[in-house]
Amino acid sequence: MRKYQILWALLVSILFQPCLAQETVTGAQLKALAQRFAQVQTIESQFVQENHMALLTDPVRSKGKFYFRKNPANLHWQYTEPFENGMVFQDGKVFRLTANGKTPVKGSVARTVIAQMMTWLAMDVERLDKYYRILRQEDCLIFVPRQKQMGDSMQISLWLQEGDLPSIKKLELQETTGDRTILTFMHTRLNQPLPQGVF
Amino acid sequence: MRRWILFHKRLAALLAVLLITLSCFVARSIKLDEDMSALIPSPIQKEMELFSESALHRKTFLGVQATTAQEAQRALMVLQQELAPFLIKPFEPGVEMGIDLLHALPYRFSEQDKEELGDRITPPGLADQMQKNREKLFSLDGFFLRKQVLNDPLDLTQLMIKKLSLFQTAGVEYEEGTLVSKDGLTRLAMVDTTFPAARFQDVRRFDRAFKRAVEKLGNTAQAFYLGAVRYTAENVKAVHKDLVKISILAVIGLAVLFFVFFRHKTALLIYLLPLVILPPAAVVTALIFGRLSGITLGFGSVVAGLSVDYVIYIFFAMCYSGDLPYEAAQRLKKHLECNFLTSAMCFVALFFSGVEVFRQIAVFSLLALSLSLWLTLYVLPAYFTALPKKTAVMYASSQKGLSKREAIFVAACLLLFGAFGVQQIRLNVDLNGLNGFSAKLLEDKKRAEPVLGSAQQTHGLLFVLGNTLDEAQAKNEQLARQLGETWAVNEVLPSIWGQVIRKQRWKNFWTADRVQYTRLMTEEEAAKQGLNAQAFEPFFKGLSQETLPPDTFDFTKIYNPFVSLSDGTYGVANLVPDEKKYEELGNGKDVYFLSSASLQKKLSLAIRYEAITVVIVAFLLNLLAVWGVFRNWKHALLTFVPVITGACMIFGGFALLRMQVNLFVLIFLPLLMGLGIDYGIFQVMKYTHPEQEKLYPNRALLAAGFSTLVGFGVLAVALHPVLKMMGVSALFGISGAALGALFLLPPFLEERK
Repeated sequence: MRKYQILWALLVSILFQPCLAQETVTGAQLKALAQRFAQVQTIESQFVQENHMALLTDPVRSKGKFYFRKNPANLHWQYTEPFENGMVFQDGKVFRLTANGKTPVKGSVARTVIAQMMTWLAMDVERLDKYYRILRQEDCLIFVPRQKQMGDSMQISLWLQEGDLPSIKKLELQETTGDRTILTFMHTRLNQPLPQGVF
Repeated sequence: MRRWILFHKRLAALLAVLLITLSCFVARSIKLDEDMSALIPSPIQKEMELFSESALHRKTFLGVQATTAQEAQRALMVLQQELAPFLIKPFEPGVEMGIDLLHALPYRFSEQDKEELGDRITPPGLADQMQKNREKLFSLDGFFLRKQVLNDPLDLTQLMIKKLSLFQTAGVEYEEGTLVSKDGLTRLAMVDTTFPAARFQDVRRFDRAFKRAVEKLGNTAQAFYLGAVRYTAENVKAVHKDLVKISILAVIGLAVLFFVFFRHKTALLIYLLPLVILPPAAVVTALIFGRLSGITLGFGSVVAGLSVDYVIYIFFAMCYSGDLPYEAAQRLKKHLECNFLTSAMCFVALFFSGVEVFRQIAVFSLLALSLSLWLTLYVLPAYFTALPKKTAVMYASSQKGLSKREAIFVAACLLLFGAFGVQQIRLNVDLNGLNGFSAKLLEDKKRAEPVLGSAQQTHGLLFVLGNTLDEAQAKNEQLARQLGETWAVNEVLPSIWGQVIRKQRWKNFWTADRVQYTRLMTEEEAAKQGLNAQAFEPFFKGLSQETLPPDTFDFTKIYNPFVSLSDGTYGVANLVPDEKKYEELGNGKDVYFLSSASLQKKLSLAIRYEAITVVIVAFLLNLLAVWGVFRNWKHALLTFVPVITGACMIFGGFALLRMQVNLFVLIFLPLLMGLGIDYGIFQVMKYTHPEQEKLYPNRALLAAGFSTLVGFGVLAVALHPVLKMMGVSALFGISGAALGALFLLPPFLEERK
């Protein structure tokens, strides 16, 4: 019975391979992508985050909003549900947002997280290409780490919103441990003045 | 010897040239030592060694100041990248840091930790912890924190972080391994260099690389570096610039001296003398001490000035008396030997100083002067040509001196001037006063102030020593227990016995019952938060295990509070507030408290003690020497008149110019004593031996004074504060001594004549 199962799996994978084909994104395509994202200077968006973790009994969902400015680099990332927290990167300093206000963060972890987030939001293609092998599968870009990093290697899938200006529609982090995080962005406003006081 | 030289003048000259060449060749291989330790009196050498070996002192501070915090951050990163070949790779906490800290805790589990953990392992405490864990998962950095929650659901790591935070100094902000000012515009990275701070060739290479790195930063940020490396760089620059400048000025001064006083080819031998005596003296001194300070070498110009006095006296004696060279040398032999004796006594007194540089100077000068005296009496006359009558006449001069009453009045004025100076003198006891530093360094130190705040002034280092590192650690723990205090070093780096006790405490705490209770409570509270308690199973399994995971956390990679001393002992450095109770703990045996203020106080006391001892010893030795020569107490005491006038001029001059003087001016006093007595002997010899008056023309004393002034006085233009202080002291002191000998002494001696 087990032998048939293996054969069946092989057959299915061969038959469906063309449909799931992943192609490497060429240098020219990356350049074009970088040029399009270069036009984006500010982003304001809401998001829903879905976590599937071995550490949680059930998948959980959290919500929030973020504001991003490319130059000078500023980020305000705020969760509103189920907990009110977040981080702000302002004038080279990282602050943690709590229900009671914002407090400076000194650790390198927070800075690393902020740097990573800003790399993705700005779609710093050059930097991403350095650390990830970039593939395309239908309307999705897949980023496979070139080296094992941050403990657990992970694959990141990205769906872009096409329009006059590009933006990220959905982002999925798939870890080797089986944990998964999905971020879906909505009500995204590009290159619009950001509200006062967010930075 | 004299006969042999007379008959083999060319061979002797060739031998001298060979000696100079060989000495210069060997001298080239001498490594000039710019280490400040050679300037420190021996009673506080131990303190200085502890201070210089401590981690904070060994660190180099790379700093940047920019218009925006982001720019400061970027600039510091660029600076560190550019200087990477000179820097030891800094410790970077990786993802395993959390696990390392967790595994480190049992070896450092204190009574305080036990109490705190006991309070946390309660239903409300665990409920609170599980909620925090859940919250961590829903934060932006949740991706990184997730692993931490999984490995350490009770957040025991926090206990270790608390211990580490004990190292944090009040008023100093840390951010990712760098020190940051409140506005974020100034950042300092504490780095270790791959080379010792005292190795000046590496320091020069580093300094050049730093300048190249600064060019890459552009105009948006200003960079600087501080620490022992910077002091070495500044000292090296100052001493090297000084050596060139002093040498050039000394040559010019000597040329002027030649045209004013000598104007005869025979006098050129006077100028050759320092070239013959200084290189061998430097080589032998370096061999005796195993190193040679740049300051000792800088003192070469002083020795040059002193050493030519003997030949100058013979030259003028020949001019006035018409004696043949060897005759003049023979007739002045007693006087020159007496001069040498008094100078030598001063340097002998200096040899007993606790400051190595002064011992080096003593040996260097004694060697050079001995060689000079021997050459003057036995070798150089063979090369002198008889001076023409015309020359002798040219030097003859008459001089009307002061009356005794006038001399007393001038002496009284000078004494008042000196007393005023002593009262007004502004001593600078700052340790930095011993370093050569530029205005740029002061500017950079000011730049670092927003980051370091007043921490340097408000804190001190408490060192506890032991024969082994473990003994030092154990003593440190005992001392903290006695005071009822918690010291960061003991908490993070306990002794072997300390670790055994702490480990046992951990095992006693985590009984099977407590582990079981905690597990059940955690499962219950975790379930309420939607956390899968099964995921924490490995953590609880670890708590129940008999064998603890190995302690892989090496804090010394981040900060090393241990010092290894040259006498084979070890020390533990604790950063404590600058308070009297810590100062009182210092016993000078195995506990030392060092703060910026206490170190300066100790240095000041040590130098004062040095100066007083050396001056008293020099005075007694000189008094004995001149009494031995004259067998007359009044004559012996009168030889000290130029010394007193010189000292009055020094102190009065400093007060008049409102100069801040460093403690090393006190060391100049015995040197002044040697010089002043020489002039005094000259005058006493002249006035007590009327038949030999022609051997002692005033012009000879003036020429000798100026030649020393040319050697000594040029140090006044030095950048290095110690050399500069000596130079300025010489300008006042030698002028005062020479004028005292020429104008104040004769009225008292003429009466006897």
